[in-house]
Amino acid sequence: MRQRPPQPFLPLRPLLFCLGGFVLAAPPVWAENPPTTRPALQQNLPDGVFYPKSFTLENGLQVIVIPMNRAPVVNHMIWYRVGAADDPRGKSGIAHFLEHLMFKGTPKVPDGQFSKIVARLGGEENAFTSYDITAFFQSVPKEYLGKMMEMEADRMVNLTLDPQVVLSERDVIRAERGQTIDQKPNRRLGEMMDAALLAGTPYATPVIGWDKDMAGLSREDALAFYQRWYAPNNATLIVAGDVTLDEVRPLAEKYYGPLISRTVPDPIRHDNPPPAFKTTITLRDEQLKDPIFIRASIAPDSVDKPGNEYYALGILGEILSGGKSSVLYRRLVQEERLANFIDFSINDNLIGVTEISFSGEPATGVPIEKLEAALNREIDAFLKKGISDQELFDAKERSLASAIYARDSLSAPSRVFAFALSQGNSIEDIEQWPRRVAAVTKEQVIAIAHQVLKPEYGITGYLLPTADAKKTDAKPSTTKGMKK
Amino acid sequence: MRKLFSLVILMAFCWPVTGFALPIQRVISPKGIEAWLVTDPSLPVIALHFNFRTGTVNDPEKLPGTARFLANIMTEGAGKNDATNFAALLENNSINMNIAADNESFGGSLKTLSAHRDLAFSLLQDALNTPRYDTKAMELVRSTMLSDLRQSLLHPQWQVAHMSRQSLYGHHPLAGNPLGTLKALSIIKADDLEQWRRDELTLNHLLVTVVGDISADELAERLDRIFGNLAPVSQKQDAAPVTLPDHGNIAVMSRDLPQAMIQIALPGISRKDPDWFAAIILDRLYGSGGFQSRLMQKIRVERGLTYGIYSQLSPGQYADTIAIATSTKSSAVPDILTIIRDEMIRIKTDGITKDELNDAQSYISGSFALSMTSTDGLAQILMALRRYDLGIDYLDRRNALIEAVTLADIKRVAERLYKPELMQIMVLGKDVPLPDAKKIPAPQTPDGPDLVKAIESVL
Repeated sequence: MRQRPPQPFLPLRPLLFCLGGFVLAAPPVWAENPPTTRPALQQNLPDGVFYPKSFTLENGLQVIVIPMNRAPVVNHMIWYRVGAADDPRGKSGIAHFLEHLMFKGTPKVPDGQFSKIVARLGGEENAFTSYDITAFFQSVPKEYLGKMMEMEADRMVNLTLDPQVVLSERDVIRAERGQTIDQKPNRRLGEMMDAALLAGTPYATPVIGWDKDMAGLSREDALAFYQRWYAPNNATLIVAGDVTLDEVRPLAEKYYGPLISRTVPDPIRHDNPPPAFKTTITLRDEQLKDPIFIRASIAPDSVDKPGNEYYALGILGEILSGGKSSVLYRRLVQEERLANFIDFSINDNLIGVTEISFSGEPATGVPIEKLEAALNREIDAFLKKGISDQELFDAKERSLASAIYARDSLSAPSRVFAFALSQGNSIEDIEQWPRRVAAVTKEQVIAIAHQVLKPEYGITGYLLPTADAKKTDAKPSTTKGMKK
Repeated sequence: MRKLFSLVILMAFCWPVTGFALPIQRVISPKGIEAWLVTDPSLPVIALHFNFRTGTVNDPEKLPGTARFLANIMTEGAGKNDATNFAALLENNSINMNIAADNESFGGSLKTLSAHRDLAFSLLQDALNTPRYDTKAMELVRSTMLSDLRQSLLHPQWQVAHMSRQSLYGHHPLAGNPLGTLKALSIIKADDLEQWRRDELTLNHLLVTVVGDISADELAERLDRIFGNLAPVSQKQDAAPVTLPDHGNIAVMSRDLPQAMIQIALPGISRKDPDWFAAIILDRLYGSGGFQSRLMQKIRVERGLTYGIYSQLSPGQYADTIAIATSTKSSAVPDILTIIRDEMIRIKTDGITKDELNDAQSYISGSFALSMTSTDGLAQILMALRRYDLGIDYLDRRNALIEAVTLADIKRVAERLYKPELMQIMVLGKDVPLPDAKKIPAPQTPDGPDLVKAIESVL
């Protein structure tokens, strides 16, 4: 059966194992398979997850080594503590534009050569921009790790930009916006909802930028951003794969060591109060057959930092999110047939802000209001009933299993570290994650559930087919209306 | 003692670039079911992939959608467990089970912690042998599939893909929507699904690959329990072969989109063809190599006309095709089409350079190790070896096959494959300036059946 998470918020939801988009929760159905017969992960907790080693070069570049020796390959990632949230006013999209331009060459490795060399060595590479970080990464046979470091260190300081190349790349990012956002109703709705929900913070502007700003981005804008933020002391190097710290250290010293540290400004993340209003946004699109709603709100600040509430929210997410045995899916999709899907999700990839959302698609013929009313009823019932020992046990097992599965990939661990560290977690926080998850109590989960599940304020977004005229229309050009 | 019942052949292959050895074992169960296995105890995880050589192409003529329906219902309750219990057992034990049907395959994957393998294997056994077809689950699958189908009919990507299938395959079942039709999905019954299961999911169609924390002896025994009760041989005839069109075609359907979508198809090359790697190298340089490809260079890098353009070789049991897909602003469609044709002719006339050949060869050999870094990735590679009958020693030979490709091979293959006059060019967008293209009228009510009729009446 399909699972259709609508992914309303971020262009890139990283494969974070913490609060991961994993499967779900749990009526007690152990009549035939009692839990006591299962080997419990939480009764045999590991000391860590990835067992990384770390050191810092004199110029301030932090280096993290994650040993994984299943195949003779490595994933080399450098990420900068800068992202779309640092775009200057009127220059939205510049962080992402610069990420594209970083492939456009240096005196030593001219335009197009970086990708060409990686490919010739049998490697794969890419880059991404999120609100708080910009990352560049390659997977290559391990003997080419030094070559990757040489080229990555080179483009950290020696980028040259041909004006013509910049102009044509600007057309590319505008086409990217057309293809990945303007063409997709759910992405457009997500963009509008973020703009309203996070108004006044840098997260209200889409990572890719508003088209009007993008059209005016210049070579000078990109270079200014580059010189301001790209420095070894604002970067972290992660090497995951078939290597040891002793192999990585001399290479890192040789290639990244000579780079000179520079003063980098502190990122500004407006600490605006969350919205004190309740509203709806409606978007109609002829691509849609069935309506969808997304109900989003901001969680209290206490869940943003690693602590009891942070881990308890993760467990709540495991219990409620959209899998087939979760209470919401079972009641609303399977038993009452009111919905085709129903989902609960937590977006904790922003500094200092955690977004909570419910989303659902009514079954054919069911009015969307009826599904929303039923969801409210189920939330009330859930809060009244609380959770059982079994539900807590199962949610922890699933969380702990997701940490094991996260190691079954060459590139996922680097992303986990990049996002977790950028949000203020330490390496220790990541490694101790299983123990802290296992320590969450029922009372903590119930307490956080009361805080986040029935928010006083927030936004409900509706995606409706063009033909359905039942909901009140918002202005059709809401995207424009959100622009500065 | 168990060793007596299973035959284990050890095949080591060397990774020439790095000296990486991957031991693939051929495991044969007491009942004769064969699986290819790589034992890897470094993580407590097992991935099992299975595939039946059948698919939606063998849907009953009057009931398109049957294979997908069956794939979906199998995990909605089986054996003693109804849908809710089945899902809870999977989810609470972090077992991932996927079953899916495509044109030419009906298969799936199971991923589990090795600690939960007893339960995981027994749930897969139930799903394949004793799906319950409970009424409630049937109606849920039916309405979800209907909703997906209705939604897909309005989706630009689906619409242009459907135009492409129609122009390539005409009345062959491959031209249909693997999701089925609104009419068929409304009437498919449990008996229809069970009949198809018995007819098509048979041991002679079955391929299995396994990677992870499990021994050959244990797997041999498990294979019989999971698959041993399926019928040995299918009595059904496969769908008829396909004849691809011997002429080109260009058609536009009008639709108001921010970016016009272009999909092009032409005849391709079989996976077993001795020139396969020459074709792969050629395709990489022409359009599938991302920034290493000429299409991406000319159209994205030099002209900024698109965010992405890709070509792809699609070999199949019924037809081999080459596909090219991109999107751009409507006014740039003629330009892009010209570049696509010109680059095809240029590569055919001028060939490629020795450097380009060497770079592509070293990428195609070297990058292979990257797909072996997850249990699922490796199980998938083993499955490809089996699906295309490439042989258990194929990974030993692969690099030599790639290295053997010459500039002359490339030229010959380019002449054989790159025939712009055979292109089926399908465009969806508003005011696309292509005066000579067939015009597919936009249906008045943008509903599925109307739309399908409109496309079919023109192509």
